[in-house]
Amino acid sequence: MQEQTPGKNTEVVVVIGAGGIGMAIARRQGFGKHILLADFNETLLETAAQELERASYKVSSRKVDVSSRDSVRALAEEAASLGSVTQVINTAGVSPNMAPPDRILAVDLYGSAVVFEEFGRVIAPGGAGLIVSSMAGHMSSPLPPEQERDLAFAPADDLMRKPFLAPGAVPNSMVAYILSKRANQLRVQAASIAWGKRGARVNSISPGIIATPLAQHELNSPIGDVYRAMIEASPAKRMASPDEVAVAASYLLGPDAGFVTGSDLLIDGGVIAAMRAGLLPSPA
Amino acid sequence: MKQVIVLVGAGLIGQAIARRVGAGKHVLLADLRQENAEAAAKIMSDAGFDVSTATVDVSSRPSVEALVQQATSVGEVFGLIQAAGVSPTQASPETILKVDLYGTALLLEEFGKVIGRGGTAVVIASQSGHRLPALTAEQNSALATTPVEELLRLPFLQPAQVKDSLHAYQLAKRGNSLRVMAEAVRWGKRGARVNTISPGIIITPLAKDELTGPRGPGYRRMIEISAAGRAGTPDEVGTLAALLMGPDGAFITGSDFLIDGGVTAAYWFGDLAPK
Repeated sequence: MQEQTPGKNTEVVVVIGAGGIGMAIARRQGFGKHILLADFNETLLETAAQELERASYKVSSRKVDVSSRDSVRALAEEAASLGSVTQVINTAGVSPNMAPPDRILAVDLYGSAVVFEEFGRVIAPGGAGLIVSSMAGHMSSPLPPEQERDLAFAPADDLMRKPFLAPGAVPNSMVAYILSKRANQLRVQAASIAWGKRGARVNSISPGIIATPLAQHELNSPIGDVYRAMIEASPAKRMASPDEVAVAASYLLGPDAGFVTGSDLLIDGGVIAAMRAGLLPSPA
Repeated sequence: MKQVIVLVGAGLIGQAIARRVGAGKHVLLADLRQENAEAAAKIMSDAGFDVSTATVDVSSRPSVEALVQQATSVGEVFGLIQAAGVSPTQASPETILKVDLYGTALLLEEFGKVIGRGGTAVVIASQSGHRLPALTAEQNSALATTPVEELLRLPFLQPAQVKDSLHAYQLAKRGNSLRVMAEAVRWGKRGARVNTISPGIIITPLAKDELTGPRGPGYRRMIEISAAGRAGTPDEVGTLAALLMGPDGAFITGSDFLIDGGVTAAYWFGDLAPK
C-alpha cells in the first residue's frame, strides 16, 4: 500500500489494548483512517498489528503502560504527530483473576484517568473517546458521595492518595475491579466537561461476558461456574461476540451519538438486571 | 466553523435525510418555493435542528451559484442532498430534462468546487432510471461527462428522440446515476464522496395523490406484486442515505442504490414484466 504522508488530513484512531474487544473496535472504526494500536504486551501487540495490516488497514503500533503517565503522554504525542486524533478507545485493563488489588487500581482506575487527561490535550474537535468499563461497575454498592466525586473529578495523581484507595484499604482484587470500573463510568462525566471544551465527546461502555480468549480462560478456571450461572440467569442466556460491543462502540464514537457524552452504555445481555431481580448473588 | 448540510428540494424524502444526518450541523433548506423551504424549516427548527432557508431554481446557473455562495457563507459545506426534481405527471419532457438532468449536473459541478474534505453528497434519482433499457456506451459516456452547459444539446435528448415525459424522466434519472459516477472521480480528489439513491414508491403526500388518482390502480398493482408487498417510507430512504453519507460508507462512492421493495426486479424478471 502507498504510504500516506502524515498530516492534518489523516484521521488517527487510537486503540489501547489489542485484545478481542479492542481489535473488534479497531476493525469497525479504523478503515480509511490510521490506526495507532497500543498494548502493554509487545508480542500480542505485534501479532494484532500484523493481523490488521494483512486486512489492509493502515496501522502502527506502540507499547504503552497506561499506569505510567510518561508512557501515555508519549503515546498521545505520537498519535498527534500522525494526524488528527479523532477517536481514542481505551480497552486496556487487568481482570480480578490476573492481578492483586494495587495493580488493578493502577491500570484500571489510575490508568484510565491518565488516558482521559493526556488524550484530552490532543483530541480533535468533533472527536470522541471511549473507555471500555465493565458490567462489574454496575455491581458496586452505592458509594459515599464524596468518594464518587473524587473518582470522577480528582486529578489522577491526587486520586491515588485518597484514603479509600490507599494500599490496604481495598480488601481484594474483585473489590478493586468493581471500584475501578465504577470509576470509569464516573470519570467520563468529568472528562466530558474537559473534552467538551475542545468540541469532543467521551463515553463509557460496560460489557458483560464477551467471548474473548480471556473469557474462555475464565470459563475454564475455578470461577467458571459463576460465569455460567450469570449466563444462565440472564435474559439473553448467552455470551456476546466482541463484534456486538464494536457495533455499540461505533454508535458512541460516531455521528449518530453527537448528543451523547459523559454517558455509560451497559451491554450485558441483562446480567445486571438478573442480579437486581435477585436471580443472582451480588458480589459486592 | 460550522458544518453545513445543504438540502435541495425540501420534500419529505429530503427532510427525512436531513433529519437523519443534520443533528449538530447547520441545515440549509433550499427549495424552488420559499413557502416549502420555510414549512420544512419550521418543522426541523421545532425539532431542535439549526436551519436556514434559501430559494433555488436548480435549472438556473446563477441561482445555483447564489445557493453555493449562501452555503459557504454559513460554514464548511459537508453534505449535499439533491432531492429536487419534477415528476412525469407534473411537467413536459423539456422541463424534466432541464430540472432533473441539467439541474443535478449543475449542482454536482458547483458544490464539487466547495465541498469539504470528508464531505458527501447523495442524489435522489428514481427506480425509473433502472427501467430504461440499456443505452449505448457512447450515450452513457455522454450523460456522464458532457460539460454541463452542453448536456441538453445531446442529439438523443432532443424532442424528436424523447417520446414523452416518462421517457424524459427515465433518461434524466439514468443520467443522474451516470453523472454521479463521473463526479465521484472529481469529488474524490477533494476527499469527498457522492452516490445516487434510486427510490421506488415512497409514501409522501404526492405519492398518496398518485395512488388515489387515475394511475392509482397501476401503482397499487406494482406495490402488491413487489417482493416487499408495500410502499416505502421516507425514513427508510433516510437510513440508507445516513449509511452513504456517514463514516460507514467511506468506501462507497460513485454508486447507485435501488431501494424499491423489489419493484424493478419484478418489472424485469417477474410478474410486472411488460407482456
